[in-house]
Amino acid sequence: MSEQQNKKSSANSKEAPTYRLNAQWSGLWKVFAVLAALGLAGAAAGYSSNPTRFAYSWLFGFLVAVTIAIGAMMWVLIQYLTSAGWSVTVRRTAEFFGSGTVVFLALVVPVILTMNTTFAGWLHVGAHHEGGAEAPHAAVIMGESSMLAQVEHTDSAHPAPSQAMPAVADHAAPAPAGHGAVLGHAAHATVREDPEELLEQEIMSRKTWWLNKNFFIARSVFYVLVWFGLGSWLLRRSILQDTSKDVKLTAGTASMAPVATIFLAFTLTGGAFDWIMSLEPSWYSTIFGVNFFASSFVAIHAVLILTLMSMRSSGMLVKEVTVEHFHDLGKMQFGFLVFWAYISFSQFMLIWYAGIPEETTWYHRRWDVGPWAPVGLALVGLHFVVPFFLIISRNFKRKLGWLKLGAGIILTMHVVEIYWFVMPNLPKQDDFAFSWIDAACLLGAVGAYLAVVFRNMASHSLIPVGDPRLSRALKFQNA
Amino acid sequence: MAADPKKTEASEHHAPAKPRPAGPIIIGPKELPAPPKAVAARKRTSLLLAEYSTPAKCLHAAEKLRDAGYKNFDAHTPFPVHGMDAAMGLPDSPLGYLVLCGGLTGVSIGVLMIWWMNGVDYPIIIGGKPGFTLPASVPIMFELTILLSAFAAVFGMFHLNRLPRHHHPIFESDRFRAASDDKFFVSVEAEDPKFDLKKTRVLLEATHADAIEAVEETVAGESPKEETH
Repeated sequence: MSEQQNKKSSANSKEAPTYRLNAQWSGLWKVFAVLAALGLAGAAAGYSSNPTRFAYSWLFGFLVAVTIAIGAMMWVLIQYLTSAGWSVTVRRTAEFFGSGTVVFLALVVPVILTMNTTFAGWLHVGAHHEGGAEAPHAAVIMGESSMLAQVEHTDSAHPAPSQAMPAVADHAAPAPAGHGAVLGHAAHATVREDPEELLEQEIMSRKTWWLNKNFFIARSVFYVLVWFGLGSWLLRRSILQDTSKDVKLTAGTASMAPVATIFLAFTLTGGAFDWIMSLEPSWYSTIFGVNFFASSFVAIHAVLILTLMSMRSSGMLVKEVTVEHFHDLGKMQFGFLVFWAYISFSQFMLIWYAGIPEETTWYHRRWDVGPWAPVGLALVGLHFVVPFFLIISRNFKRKLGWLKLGAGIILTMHVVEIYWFVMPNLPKQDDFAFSWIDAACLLGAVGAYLAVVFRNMASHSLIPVGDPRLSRALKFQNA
Repeated sequence: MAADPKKTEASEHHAPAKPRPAGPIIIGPKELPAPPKAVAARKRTSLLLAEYSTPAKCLHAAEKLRDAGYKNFDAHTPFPVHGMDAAMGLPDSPLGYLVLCGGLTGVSIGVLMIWWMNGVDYPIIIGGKPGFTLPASVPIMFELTILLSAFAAVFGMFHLNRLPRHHHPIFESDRFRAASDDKFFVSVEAEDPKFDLKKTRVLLEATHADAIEAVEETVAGESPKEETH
């Protein structure tokens, strides 16, 4: 224990608060490391038994960890952007969760290595271009009546945009998905192939400048490098201040925060586009990055609330993080929960109302195919309606049991949401069922991430003792 | 907000530079005849006002009044003082429930309206969608929820703060103008069942008030005395 802390604590209270993890918690990172090892072993077994499943399951587990880390970094940056005083005692916990980004340098590797499976939908479009025209699948699809069959074809290799196919867009544009009109329209058109298939090819040929193998790998590496740099930088600056008490560190971080926020916003949008949207490469949704951010940001509030409450119940930060801080965390969580619902619903409603094929595929796959319709409804009910009423009231936000219940539901549903983002794109949805490979990958990725987070937590002070606004946070009260 | 509902009145009130003359305010030429004796003015103590120089003293005074069983008293401070609600013994504001009722009314009206208009009364098929569907109704439901919640919040606040109210006897005190500047006040209304001019003054004196003032208001009296004091 450093001298400054002892000095400070003796001034503050009689029993010296240590601001360190207690013995019970300081070994927790080893537990997570063991769980991660078990999960990774399971994931490896999953890879050898079902490599396709592993590819999707790993993406799911990886994204759960990524969203929490992104949310944490954004949370810390917003505290600097707003010069927040109330949150100083909470901020270090968020910084720990942001510092876990270092593991993504390793966790992203399987995502890149399995891209032939997960991102086959666009990966071979460019190659086909070079190899010349191939026989399109259109003839096969024409014979089938269900939309399902057409959509599922996108999972296997995409047909090539044939060079012998001029003016594709003119003929194929306005066909509503799943309607009888599709076939009628096709019959009128002079083109032999299925119009939706042609549309998809046309769309894909326009997207190859972004969706190609080398650029994708470069971007994936770039994202995790940016997040690694940002997460480590935020924690390091804050820890330097623990001993130096230098106000310039706060000012310096605050002055860099706008730039860092822009970088984080662009990289998280890119991550959402590349790792989730490109599972459905012909899909358009300009708001999906915001949706992904909203998800992450709601999740980090749930993570912070649950972590800090657990810490308090084992005797740490009891006086430093009070009901006032939880009240504010609850307010932020509530606000961004509504934001998440607003964004998610806006995306859904516009796509539903317009009903144009290149947009409806996403929801078609998550409503008409496999077991996903109840999952989508569960997201509406349990990711929004139930927690909305649980934490809407000031009294409920200040009754920690209610807030904890709300945060627990939100975090669980966040994991379900990421599952719902990724898994409907797994081929052969008719007999879809939860697999132990999903659980192993989730455990492996999130366990590895948490092991680093709790390792950092064990070796540093739990609150930024050198922060100039610390006293404001300690005295903070909601008016 | 709940701590001092009259604060907004205080900050909006522009008291005249000079102390007001006692008796009825006469607007217009001074030569006008005095009002008839039947409505002649008389003075009545309407509240006791105690002035403090720090928020802490004001907070302790509120606690003392609360503990002594006073209900009809208020604190007036230039800025929100943390802990004042508890010090005054104020219950939680019921405003949240009013807003909840407003919001639920809004969401119900929204869905009923769209169901009736688009589903029953005049269905128009647009884009192949059924007349009434939930997704298309959600924006209306949302907007009406927000609108009626906001109405409930604003007008509920007015009602709970007994607004609009154009005057309060506390503005008879010149001292009180500092409530929106640098002084902290506690006022005890004469209507409080425990109010007693002597006992309440003694209680307030024990709170280390910088000054205590019995604020009088001018009322139309049945038994006129002299016109002026």
